[in-house]
Amino acid sequence: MIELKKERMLDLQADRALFGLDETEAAELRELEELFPELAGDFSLEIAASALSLSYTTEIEPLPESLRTKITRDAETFFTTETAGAKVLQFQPQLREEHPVVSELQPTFSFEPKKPFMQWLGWAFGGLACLALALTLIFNQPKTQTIEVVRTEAPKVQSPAEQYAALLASASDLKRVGWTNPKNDKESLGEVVWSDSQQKGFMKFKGLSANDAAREAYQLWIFDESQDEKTPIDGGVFDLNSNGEVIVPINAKLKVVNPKLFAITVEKPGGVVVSKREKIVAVAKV
Amino acid sequence: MTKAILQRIAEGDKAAVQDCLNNYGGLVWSLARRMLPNTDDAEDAVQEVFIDIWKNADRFDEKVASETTFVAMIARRRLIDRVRKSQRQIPADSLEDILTEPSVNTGDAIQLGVEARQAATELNKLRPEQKQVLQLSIYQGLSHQEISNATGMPVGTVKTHARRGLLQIRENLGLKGAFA
Repeated sequence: MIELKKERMLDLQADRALFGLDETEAAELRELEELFPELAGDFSLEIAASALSLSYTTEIEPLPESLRTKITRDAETFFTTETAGAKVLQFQPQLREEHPVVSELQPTFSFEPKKPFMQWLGWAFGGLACLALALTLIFNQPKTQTIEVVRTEAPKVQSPAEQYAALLASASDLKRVGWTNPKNDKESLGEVVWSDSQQKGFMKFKGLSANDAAREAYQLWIFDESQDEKTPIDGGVFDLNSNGEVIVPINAKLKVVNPKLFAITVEKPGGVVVSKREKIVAVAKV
Repeated sequence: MTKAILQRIAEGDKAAVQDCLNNYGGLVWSLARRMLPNTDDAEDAVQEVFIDIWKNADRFDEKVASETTFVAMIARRRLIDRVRKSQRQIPADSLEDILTEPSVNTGDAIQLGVEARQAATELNKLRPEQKQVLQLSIYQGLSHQEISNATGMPVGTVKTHARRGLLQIRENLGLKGAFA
């Protein structure tokens, strides 16, 4: 019985390498991987298939310059998001790959986000600045002057609810619209607020279902005046683990000039670069 | 010793992104163009592939595979998914073209890694039907059913040839059990 299951697992791994798996097959492979974890990280068949694929590659077309520009922009967003991702409590980092789903082309191995380089750079600059300030103070102080030690408190980190309230109080150009279910515009699902001048906004949800973070994630798309309708701005990926009232900060990847519509789609964990818009769960028209 | 591009990306070296595009942009684009006839689809897929590459860069191990093969593996995953979702229909009049054997790169004209050259050699050692099924799957991106339609083989036979052929290639490349 065990050998049969291992053989089935090998069949699925071969199918994955050559043809891909549908959701049922992918789920079956995940179950088998849990049963035989010692075989779970084996992607040697994919390597073999890829080597074969390369052997047929007799001609390399250059990457179009326009596409290169888009990928470079994606990379900038990706690394920036990775740096900023941990700052906001309710935001899931873009790189989260908790439970691979092969049919969605998640990695077949676990992925843990690395400590972002820019974060280290920030700390390094911060440290150098502190050192420079300390040296300046030490060498510029008259020798007779008593140095007072000023006790300072670390700035309090505001919760999303506090930040939301602060934005409502401070933004003179606040856009505030309600979320509705696209299949039933009578059903209210909360609201979204956005300030163009502060480039900041929040989504408040009430009644939107919790998602299974291992299988899917919510993603915000901002249809902005500055962008073609086909390419809305990615407003961030998030999970909801409560059916109560939840406030989620917006994490727009590009500058938002004048938003016309906000939409929430259900995507694979970690989100997508381009949504197929197959499952839209909430919209808010400005 | 020079660090691998993917290792530099995993460490957050943004300059490595351009090196990655210089080295593998054309390869990924060519793979996408081969598997996805629609240019817009190919462009979207290539963008997604590179996001996958940034995400998985820290999993690259040069002891397991060359960087080129690793990049191709990430690319294939995404492209196979796209092909499946597009549910491409093969027009009957293109079957003859599909069954024409593609040329195999066994030389050094394109630097595609040692595994690719070995794989090309090993492919020629397979039984003709195994070789044909693998070619249709890997080169043309056809599904079991499409291969069955194109060759007249039952779907079960297609699966068996594909699986056995790939397992043989893996074994001959010395990859068997390397990751278990």
